Amino acid sequence: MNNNVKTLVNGIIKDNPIFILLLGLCPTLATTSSAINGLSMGLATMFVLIMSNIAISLLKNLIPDKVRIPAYIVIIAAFVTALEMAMNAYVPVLADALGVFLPLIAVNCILLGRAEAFAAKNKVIPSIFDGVGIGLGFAGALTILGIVRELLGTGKIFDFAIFPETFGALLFVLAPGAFIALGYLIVIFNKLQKK
Amino acid sequence: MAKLESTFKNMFLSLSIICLAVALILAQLNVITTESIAEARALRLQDAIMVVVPEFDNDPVAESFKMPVGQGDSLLMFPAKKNGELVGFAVHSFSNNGFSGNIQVLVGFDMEGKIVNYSVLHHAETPGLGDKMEEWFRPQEQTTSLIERIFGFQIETEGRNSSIIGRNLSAGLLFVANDGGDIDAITASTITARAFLEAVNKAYAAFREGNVDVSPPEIVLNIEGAIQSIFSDFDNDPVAEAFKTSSDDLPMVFPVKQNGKPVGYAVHSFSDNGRNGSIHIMVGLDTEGNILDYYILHHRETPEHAEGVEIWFKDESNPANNIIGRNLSQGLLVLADEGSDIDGITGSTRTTRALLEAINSAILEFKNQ
Repeated sequence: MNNNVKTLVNGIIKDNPIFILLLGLCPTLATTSSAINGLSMGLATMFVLIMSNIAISLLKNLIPDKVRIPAYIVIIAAFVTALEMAMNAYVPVLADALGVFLPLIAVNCILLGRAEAFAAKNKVIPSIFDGVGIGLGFAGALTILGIVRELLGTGKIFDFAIFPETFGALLFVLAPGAFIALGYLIVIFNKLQKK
Repeated sequence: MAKLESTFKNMFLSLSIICLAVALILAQLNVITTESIAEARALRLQDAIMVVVPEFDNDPVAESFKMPVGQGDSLLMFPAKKNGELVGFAVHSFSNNGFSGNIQVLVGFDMEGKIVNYSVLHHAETPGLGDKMEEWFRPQEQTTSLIERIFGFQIETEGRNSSIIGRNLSAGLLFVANDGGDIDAITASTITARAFLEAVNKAYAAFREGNVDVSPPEIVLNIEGAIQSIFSDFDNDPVAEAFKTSSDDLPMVFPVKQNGKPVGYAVHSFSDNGRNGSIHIMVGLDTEGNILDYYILHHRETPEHAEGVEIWFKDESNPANNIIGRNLSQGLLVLADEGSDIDGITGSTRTTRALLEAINSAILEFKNQ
């Protein structure tokens, strides 16, 4: 159990997919224009990650090594498609907000990376913890980036006005602001983590 | 269980079985969710209709119909009725010129043609920029931020003219300021704003076609004021003595008399060929048929096109255009590029031509009587 907790914490801190591993940066930069968008993208990815980790660790012995990548991709894509259908049916508002980035979870390299690096080598329970840990690390990073960008760009956090919008720097809502904010966050995160 | 060897048979079977299983599961899931997805869509449409039209008690979705609008497109119209009477239309319109392609909006009109409200049904615009259109075109809300509340000051948000709620498009279609319109574009998302307004304008076109009852807002013409501004001295009632020589409503001739003697005629004439529809004009002629003055009763030309129209033809510093004092014996008034000497207003030839058409028809009317 101790090991499982360690796996979980590692996913959030030491192996943080965004700030340390720098994986899956495309959806990270694209969807974090506001805190709520970042959070929902993070949670959706976390769900797919946990499910694919479970499925792959269960099936790992049935998948010959040479075809493992296509097999993993099919499994991940299946969960993403299922998630998209379910969201469209039951939470259409959220599905709309995530738009094209929802189906694109399938090609997020975090998912394939964890399948390859963890789920394919471990049992189901640790794989779940890894999925939760990495998922939380990803969702947390996206939310923080979303908060920073929304605050600096529009003066709001989760749509709650902190300072007048007039003082917002539009740059941070746009793509360059995403790179700048992410860069500084990586610096801060690594500085704090080294201590 | 040991890991399967990478033999051809194992690889083939493993991958095939995984693909087949996944396909079956997804197919089943698709069957389960199709209905819910359709329901969710229908519900959203229903909600959107509720927001954009005045209160109704019929089923607009069941009574919806398609309305063709130019270029082979057709838009879905949802009639809203209360106690069997039409109270408005929700029009499902779209534009393919968004920053990320297709934008779909539902625009609601009341029976006068005023925009009641709108709802964005689908778009793929940039989050944080283009997707502001969902609020941008509504009246601006003044929000008080946390810092302002704590320190007790208030910074005025920059005013913008971007609300389309309550606008009647019969007074002119909507364009962003960059395109010569009066709607401020979304900051850093002009393309989105332009596409959005295109969809709204298209919705209005469909609304217009589908609803014959809609008449343009009644034009109030200041007939008496126009006559007084042209003829200062008269003692009869020209409006009461008005007559016309043809069976058409216009032109109408108002005889102006003093002490029972005619001093001239005010002729109310019009042209339908202005940039934005009809132009009404009052032309004052003396008893010989010399033009005394003119007065524009009504026009809907855009400001930059109509600028100067009021005085263009009586500008004494520009004799070529000055029509005051001209006589019909000199023939009709035509533009320079049609063989005469009158210059069109720069950039507004069409408006000028419509005006001259109206003036000419007034002169012909005088000739007839």
